[in-house]
Amino acid sequence: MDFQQILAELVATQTDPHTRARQWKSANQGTVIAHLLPDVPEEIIHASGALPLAVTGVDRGTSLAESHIPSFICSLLRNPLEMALRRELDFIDGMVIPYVCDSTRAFSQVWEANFPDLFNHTLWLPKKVSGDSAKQFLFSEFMRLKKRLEVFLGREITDQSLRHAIGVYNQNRRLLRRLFALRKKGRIPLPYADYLSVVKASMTMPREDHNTLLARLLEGLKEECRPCEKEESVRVFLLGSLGEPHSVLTLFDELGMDVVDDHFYDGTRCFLQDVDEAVDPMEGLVSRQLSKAPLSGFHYQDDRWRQYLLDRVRDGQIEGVVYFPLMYCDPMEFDYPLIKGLLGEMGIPVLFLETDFHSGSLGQVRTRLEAFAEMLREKKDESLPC
Amino acid sequence: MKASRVEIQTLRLLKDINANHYEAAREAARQGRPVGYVSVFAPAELLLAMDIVSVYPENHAVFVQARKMTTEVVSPLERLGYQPGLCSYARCDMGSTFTGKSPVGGLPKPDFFLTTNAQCSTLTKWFERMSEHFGVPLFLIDVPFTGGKPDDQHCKVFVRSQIAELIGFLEEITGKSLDPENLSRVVEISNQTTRLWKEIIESAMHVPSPISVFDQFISMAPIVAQRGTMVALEFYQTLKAEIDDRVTRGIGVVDNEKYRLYWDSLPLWHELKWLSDLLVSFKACLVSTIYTLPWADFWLDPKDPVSSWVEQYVHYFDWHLDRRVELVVQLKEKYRLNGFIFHNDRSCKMFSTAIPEIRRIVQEKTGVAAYILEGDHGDPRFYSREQIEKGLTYYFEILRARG
Ligand code: SF4
Ligand code: SF4
Repeated sequence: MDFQQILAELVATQTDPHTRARQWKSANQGTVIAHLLPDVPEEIIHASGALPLAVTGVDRGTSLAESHIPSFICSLLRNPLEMALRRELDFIDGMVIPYVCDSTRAFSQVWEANFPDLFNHTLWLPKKVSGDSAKQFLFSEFMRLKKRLEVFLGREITDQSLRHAIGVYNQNRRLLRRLFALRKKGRIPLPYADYLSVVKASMTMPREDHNTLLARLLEGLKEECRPCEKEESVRVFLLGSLGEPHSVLTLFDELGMDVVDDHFYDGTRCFLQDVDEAVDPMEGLVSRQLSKAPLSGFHYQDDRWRQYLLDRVRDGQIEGVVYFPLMYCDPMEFDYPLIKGLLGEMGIPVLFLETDFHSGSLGQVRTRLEAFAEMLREKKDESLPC
Repeated sequence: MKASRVEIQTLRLLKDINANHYEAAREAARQGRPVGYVSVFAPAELLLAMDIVSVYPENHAVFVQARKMTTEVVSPLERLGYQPGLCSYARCDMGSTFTGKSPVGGLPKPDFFLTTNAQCSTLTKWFERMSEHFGVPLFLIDVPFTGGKPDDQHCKVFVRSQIAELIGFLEEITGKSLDPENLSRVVEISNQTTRLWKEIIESAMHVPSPISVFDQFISMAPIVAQRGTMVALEFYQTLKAEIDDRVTRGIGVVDNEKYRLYWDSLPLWHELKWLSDLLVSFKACLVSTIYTLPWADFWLDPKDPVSSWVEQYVHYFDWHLDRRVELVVQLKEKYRLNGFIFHNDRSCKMFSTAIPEIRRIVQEKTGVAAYILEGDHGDPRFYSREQIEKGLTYYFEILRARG
């Protein structure tokens, strides 16, 4: 398979996200533990021998789900429910739902009421990310997931298997960081929409498989490596929960915006930090969780957002930010004035672009993005020495 | 015969009690007492025992809404980038604070913020922005939402250590250490008030009901904002006496009460009078609601209030689906309910996310039709009276047809 084929295969998981998991299940008589995003420690599931599978959704309406939850709940929750109600998730054995916001906390119970026969687990993520009490609590909470999985699967999750899983995932993160860095430096002609699909594919297939494919993809891309001509384009950063709908992502390239970085549940946030392999595996997972890039669902008592944004902007030579919350995402909406203010101090313009998984007509989105790109280009021209 | 409402006289006292509360807060701050902006499930007794002035932004938001100032204060807020889908308490309070347009004659400046996410996560985000605005610290009591699962010992450990940290935090702010005797005294008053509130809302078990849920909404302000004070205690003593008298004399809120209904979630603060009149025209009385219940269950162990708080945070405020269903089913028997209204409040996701599911299960379990009313607790731009009236007319037809 040449690298174009590998790329095509990885990108295809965008529209067909579950075939690989189904195949794995029937080939291995295995257990598939699905989870919603963000921040479920897949390593623990992997170490149990089950296949972790992140469920997001596909671009379509959610009429069935809306008879169980209101239509004003974000599509990160509406979409998986719709899929499950349409029996498209009939192959999963369990579902882990992280508690991040008011919607997720109530949603987990709606889920359990509808699918009582699954291994259902709500991950009680603390909202505080610093302090000993939060750290200790998170440790016990990860242990609770481990214990429940052990009981459900009837086998022990050993330190050895946890370490092995962490190794596989760190390897994956290293490869993803390489891909990310190559793109950021403008060395490979990989459109952002395709790039994100490659990243997301990691969550829908065994990581080992993704590692193999990704390594070969990187090999192939190396040959393509050359400085890309992108003088006309402006460098943007997408800050959101999910990079959906996918059809919007393709607009950026078309409109001369080079997405060099993102902050998505299933984007860079997943691979920027590794788990420290030198410490106790569970402690390593806890530390990683608490040191991740900030997220609106959590509460920071320090200036982590400011630091994070400064780093990302400097690192990616960012010229503009598109604030990209899913519709009805309260935490991100509450953070918008804060983040707009912080970016304002850095002289970075922001566009607020609320999206839904279901794209509908993109006319208006295109117009707004076009205007934003234009503005960024003008700003850039003004700053050039004549 | 046309039905009508028989008003409760004690409620007239509230105008002054509420106004005095805010005036007293301003005065106390002038005298140098520390001021905390706190959420309604903050440990009020602890704050009072430490001589801290508590201001409740949620209660403040209700006044913004009741004075019909929502649009006026929310529009400038939206220009700052806040979206109209956010909780309208948050929007009204922030809008009022940022624009300085106050329904209560102004609030004293805070020295700190305190909230718990046992109630909802919205409060954390709201208080984050507010505490940044004032440049003061925010203390969060972070409570994992356990849904009453048995394996939650570690949650209790987590909450207990945070309460210890909170006491330290408050001692630093006040420069004094907590006096346990003071705390016991406040807890004693608070417990008496809680007991009275429980009796008051339970008096609605009588047929006809001497008090409606609308009356409960109006009369809850003191137990929310002044729990642990003599003002609140005395108000509920007076209210209780009047309610008892109404029971003895068989006076109901609604003449010829025919339907006894449950109300789920927040009030429509803009429509208390309109909605209550509308329901009266159907001879319906709202007799029970989840919204005012927590204050009936705030009882604290005088010997060990910290353990009571831990228990309440981890197991009581987390209104998870099963518990809400169980509660509604029990209330049906207890209050002889023959209908349910679920307010699908678009600006409170904590309450609303599970509402369609809860309604489905409640209908299954009770065999009684339940109605979903689409509304917003504080922003009248997002619902229509017409729609509500049409929906309720239809609902009462169903109830009538089913006998
Ligand atoms: S996208 Fe926002 S609303 Fe949806 S689950 Fe995440 S934090 Fe909650
Ligand atoms: S109305 Fe709902 S979202 Fe708003 S503060 Fe109250 S519980 Fe939280």
